[in-house]
Order: sequence, then structure tokens, then C-alpha cells
Amino acid sequence: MNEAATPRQRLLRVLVTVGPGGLWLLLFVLLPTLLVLLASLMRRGPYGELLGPLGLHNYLRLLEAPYLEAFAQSLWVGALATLLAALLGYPLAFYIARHPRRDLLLLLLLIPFFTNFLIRVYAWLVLLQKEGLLNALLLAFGLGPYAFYPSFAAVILATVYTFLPFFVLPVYASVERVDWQLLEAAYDLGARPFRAFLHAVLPQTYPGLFAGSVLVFIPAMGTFVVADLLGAGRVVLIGNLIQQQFGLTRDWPFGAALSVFLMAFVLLALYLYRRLQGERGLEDLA
Amino acid sequence: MRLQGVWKRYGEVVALDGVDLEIRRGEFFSLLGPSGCGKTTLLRLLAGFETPDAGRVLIGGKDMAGVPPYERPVNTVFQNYALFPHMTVAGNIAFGLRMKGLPQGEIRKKVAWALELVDLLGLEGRYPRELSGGQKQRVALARALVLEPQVLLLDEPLSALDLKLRQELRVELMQLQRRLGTTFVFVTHDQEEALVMSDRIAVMRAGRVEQVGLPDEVYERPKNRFVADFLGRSNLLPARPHPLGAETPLGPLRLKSPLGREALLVIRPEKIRLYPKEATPPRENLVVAQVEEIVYTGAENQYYLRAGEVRLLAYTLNQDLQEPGSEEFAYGEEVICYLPPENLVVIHE
Repeated sequence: MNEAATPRQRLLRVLVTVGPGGLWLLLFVLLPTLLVLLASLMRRGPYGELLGPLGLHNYLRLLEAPYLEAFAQSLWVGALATLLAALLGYPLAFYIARHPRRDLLLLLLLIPFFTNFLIRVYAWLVLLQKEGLLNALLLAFGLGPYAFYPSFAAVILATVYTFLPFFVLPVYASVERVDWQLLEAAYDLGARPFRAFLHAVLPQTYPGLFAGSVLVFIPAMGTFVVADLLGAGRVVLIGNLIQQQFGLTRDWPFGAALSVFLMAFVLLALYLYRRLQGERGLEDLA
Repeated sequence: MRLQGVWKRYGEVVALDGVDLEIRRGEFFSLLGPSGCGKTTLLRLLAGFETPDAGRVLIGGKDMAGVPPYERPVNTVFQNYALFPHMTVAGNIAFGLRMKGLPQGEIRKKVAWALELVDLLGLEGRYPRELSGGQKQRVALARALVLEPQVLLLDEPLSALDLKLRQELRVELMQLQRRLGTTFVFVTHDQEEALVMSDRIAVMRAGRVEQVGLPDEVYERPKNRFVADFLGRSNLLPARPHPLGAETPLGPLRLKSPLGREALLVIRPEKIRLYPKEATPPRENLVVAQVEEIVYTGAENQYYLRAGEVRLLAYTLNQDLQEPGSEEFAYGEEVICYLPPENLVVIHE
């Protein structure tokens, strides 16, 4: 570095290096977040406009029963979808990582992303509806027809389907880096296969499990499209509420408050999770 | 512990080509050979990570066929330690005891014993990433020894450490082995390590055991050209029968007993004695040679000599004494080499 840099030159260096990224964060992250925060403290005018004075009234409304219910249901959908994605995705990630043609398998995993998300959700609708393919198949065996759709199960099914790759990919990345000699070491020290896996391999995949769970849980809580189309009003997530406030109801301040609440909840959950991991001495694995 | 006619192949590659070995209870046994000679495969067969394609592995008289690693009375120290990164030193050492289902109190007692054994008291709360290479090595040892195995398998456990530490740990390992009386099977490619530490050595090449014996046996009386060459440095001379002993490219040489057929003569560099040209050495087995290169290693001088078409390597100690065998010679100087008959080892191939 040139030691004779004037303060002006130094300022220029900072602006050139940090500047573009900083500007981006300012314009597209910090500013919108502040705007949402501000809006959440205002009230709705007769025509949907934003009015003062500022207050916490929107946040108090969150405590009303329908909203708490929607929140609870969001948590439930998120947790259930994450659990199912883990049960399906964890072994799948191992299978792919240990497969000689893993490049091909990864491509197959990603192919659904080449199609629009909405279209894929509609495809489930076509498959599951009363006159759909699944019922046609069952009818051929003399069963059904069943009302697979609209239902809570259909929402969960499509949510897991949508976010499964988000679980598999980070776990796959962890599995690829697993030190398999630790498994041999565990066997050598007298661990039977299940316990050897539990103690020697599973901890090595915690970072992937964590990343995968976050990547499924957070969007699954708010995916109003799936809940709308496959739940047909029976499943109301916090995402649906937010969408309603900004659309139908035109109550932006309340929608903003819902958004801030969701954001705060997610950040708090992440923070607690990290703390928990740190105390177990895993911080450098994450 | 015995191996009988053990075969192992990976696809086209034969890793073990009919190995017969007997390792005695309580001995420090080394498997020595270049990389790819099958020594690690042999260790993995003993540990149970591999199964032989043919032949039998017996440990303590019992056939180990179908016995998984977690049921064998052996434990392994891995080359790169394979410590569990998410467990403390104490956690690593306690792992095997926990798998055995021992009660807490007993585990604590044994862990303390093992920590003391490898001199790690005070570090039980550390994680492997907070340890030096030598300390990790000790944890790996303690983790295996705390289970009191019949046999401890060590896969090049010192190869990742620097020279000084390696030399210290060699001595510690030897002391530990003597103290516990556990059979150690030690894999190494370092001939010095094997010579220093072992009760017996098996020299391996290309999936076969070339020679088994005491360190001085293998060093002083190599059975074939490979062993002579791999363990230390050697001068090799093709030889034919001669009334005096043997006819070689250096002329006729006297041997302890005359040669019956064509053979190879081996003499170690430190066994060749060098005299100045004007000296009056013994009368026989003398060769005049010219100094082509001198390598100074501190403890000794290594002379690269040329006698006619034959190149010889001779070491002399740097003793600073004016007695035969410790003179220093200069580049290009002519010297007289004495090849003592008792140090000319005959190899029939």
C-alpha cells in the first residue's frame, strides 16, 4: 500500500471498494426495511393511504385470535414441512453424495427449478383434484375417488415438494466433506453401525442440517401461493395474511406489522439456534 | 496373531499376494515397506476394515472371518489420528468405554489413567483443533489404549510430525509398549523408525513379505537385493565362484566361505574401511578407488568412490581421531578401500 495516501485518496479507495456493495445494501435492504418498519407504526386511511400519528396499535392487533391462529398454523406447517424434508432429504443427500453419477443426480434434483413455481403448484392441483390423475389411477383399481384437494395434507405435500432441494443441497455439501475415517475410528472403538453413524458422521453434517432446515422452514411458513391453491382457504399462513393486507384489504400498516413480526421471529429463532450450537462446541462447524 | 496365506485384490491390483506371518504376544512388530507394498492393507485386515479374498486371519487363536471391527480385540491409531472433532480430549478417550457401556465412575477413572499414561493431564477439556500434532497423536494413543486391546495397530502414526517430535515420540512409544506389554503392530515406510523401535520387522514389497527377523538380522543379513537396498544403503557386487572366495568386478575377494554359484555380494557403506594411499592396511580385499563426491552429514562423511567401472559408497565417522577409518579425504584423492570378508553378505537370487 502507498503510505503517502492523503485522506482524500483513502476516502476514494473506500468508496471504490466498499461503495457499490454498500450502496446496494443501503438502497435495497436497509431503506426498504426501514420503510416497512415506519409503515407498521402508521394507520390506514379511508382509501388505504398511510396516515400518522405513529403508534404500536398494529402490533397490539397481532394478539387477536385469528392472527395468533394463523401464526400457530404457519409454525406448524413450517415445522412439519421441515421434518418431512429432513426425513426424505437427509438420506437422499447421502445417496447422491456417494453415487458415482452424482452430477447427473444433482441435475435431476434441480430440473424442477427450470419450470415456473406457480405452474408446478398447479400441476399438483391437476394431479390431486377429484377428476385428477391420482384418482383416475385409484378408480382403475376400484378405489376412490378421494378428495385429496383441497386439504392440509395437499399443502404439506406441495410445500415439501417445493423446498426439498433446498434441504438436500446444503446437506449434500456437508456429506461430500465428511471424513469417513471417523466412521472407521468409531467402529474400531467398538461402536456398532448405528451408533457409529450417530457419533461419527451425523455431527459432521450438522452445518448442512442447520442450513437445510432454515432454508425450508422460513419460506415454508410464508408460502401463501401453495396454501391458497391447494388449501383453498382452509390453510391460512402468516404469508397469506400479509398478502391479504397488501392486496384485498389494502391495510398496508397492518401488513407491514405482520411482516416485521415474522422477520423478528425468524431472526430470534436463528440467534437462539446459533447460541445453542455454540454452547455445544459446534460453532466452528456451522 | 497369525495370518495364513492371505490374499487381497482390488480389481486388477493384487494388494496382498499370499502373506504368512506370525506376530507374537507382547512384541513390537513393524511392517516396513515402500508405499503400495500392502502394509496398510494388512493392518486394515487385522482391524477388520477389509476382508481377505483368501486365507485366514487369527487373533489370539481365533479365526476373525466375519468378525466386524467393533468386536475385535484390537484398536487402531490412525495415520491422521481420526479424532472426533466435536468431542473434547476426554470425550474422545471415553468414547470406546461408553460404547462398551461401562458405568460413569469407571469411565472417569479409566480416562484419568489414560490421560496420565500419555502425559496429557490438564488438557482433557480441549478440542482436537486446539491441540498440536504431537498432542493429537497422544490422544489417539490414549483413546485406543484405554480399551486395553490385545493388539494395538499403528498406521504410520509418526509420519505427520516433524523430525524432532518424531524422535521423541519413538522413545515414548517404545516405553509405553514395554510398560503395558501390549502387542504393537506398527506400519511404517521409515526404515530407521523400524530398526530403532521394533522387536521384529517384516519387510514387504508388492504384497509379499520379503523377510522377517530381528532388526539387526534384517539389516546385517538381508535375504535379497530388495531388502538390502530398502533398509539403509548398500553396495551390491555381482559375484562368481573363485578359489579365493568370489570373482567380482573389483577383482577376486576373499569371503568367509567360498562361493558355490553365482551370487550377489552386499556390503554396507559403514563396513568399508578407508585408508590413505600410503598406509599399510590388511593384505587382502583391498581396492584402490578415487573420491568422486563427499557428503558431510554431521556425524559422518559419505564418500562416493569409483574403482574402475564400479561405484562404491563408504561412510566414515567424524571422530577427529587419528586412527584408521576416521581420516578425511579430499575430492579426487585416491584411497584404499578394505572390504572385510565377514561383512560381505552373500545373496543368492
